[in-house]
Amino acid sequence: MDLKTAARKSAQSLWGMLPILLGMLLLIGLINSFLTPEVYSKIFGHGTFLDSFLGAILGSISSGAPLNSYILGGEFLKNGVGIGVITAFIVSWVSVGVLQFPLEGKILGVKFSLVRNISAFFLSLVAAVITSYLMLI
Amino acid sequence: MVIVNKYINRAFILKHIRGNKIKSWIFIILGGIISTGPPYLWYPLLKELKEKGVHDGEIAAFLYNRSIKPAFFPLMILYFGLQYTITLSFVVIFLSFFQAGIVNFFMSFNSHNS
Repeated sequence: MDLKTAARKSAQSLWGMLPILLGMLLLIGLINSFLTPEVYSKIFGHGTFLDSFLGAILGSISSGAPLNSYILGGEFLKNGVGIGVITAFIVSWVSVGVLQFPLEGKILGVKFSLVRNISAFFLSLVAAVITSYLMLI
Repeated sequence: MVIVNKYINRAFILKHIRGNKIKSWIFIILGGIISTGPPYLWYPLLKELKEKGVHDGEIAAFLYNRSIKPAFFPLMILYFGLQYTITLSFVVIFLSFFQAGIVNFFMSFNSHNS
């Protein structure tokens, strides 16, 4: 494939996903305006298991640079939130994409996206358990 | 995407990803770790890789390994410590194999029944 054809094919792909991409970016902006650090801090405090689950849910519905998850996770740690909860939160932040799901489903397939996101959600909890255990020994 | 369209053809994928299992996994893990930017920018490329013979599980493992961000290691170490950063990175790599297995299982299960 020559460079011109490759560039044309890539531009067509990007053009095709543009409407969903724009919709998704608007949705991310809307969600981020509700999920402030204060909201995050008020959510925890129900025991390690439930907090880890909530941390994974919060990470899954949050979006943005992973840097933000580390900063928020660092603040949680300062406020006494457990390392397992923080792990579930920062792993699910990147590996689970609820807001990206429509686009991921359209491009990579709905079944694939569903299986991938659900398994990534539960694996973020597994990561929390393993990391917490390894940090203790 | 242009680079992928131009240089990554089926032969290239077969050689580097579908050939040797160990080599292909190194390719997937390192690819996920070094990939930057929002995930949605990677979807078209991953779709192309999928069409060129890469399994669903390997695509999922690539996306899972994106949880490791070497560029942010200094900040992560500052907040959580070196031990935590290293431990979590290895745990994510380890779990990406499980993610691949789970995704491949469910995708093959569905395709066999359809």
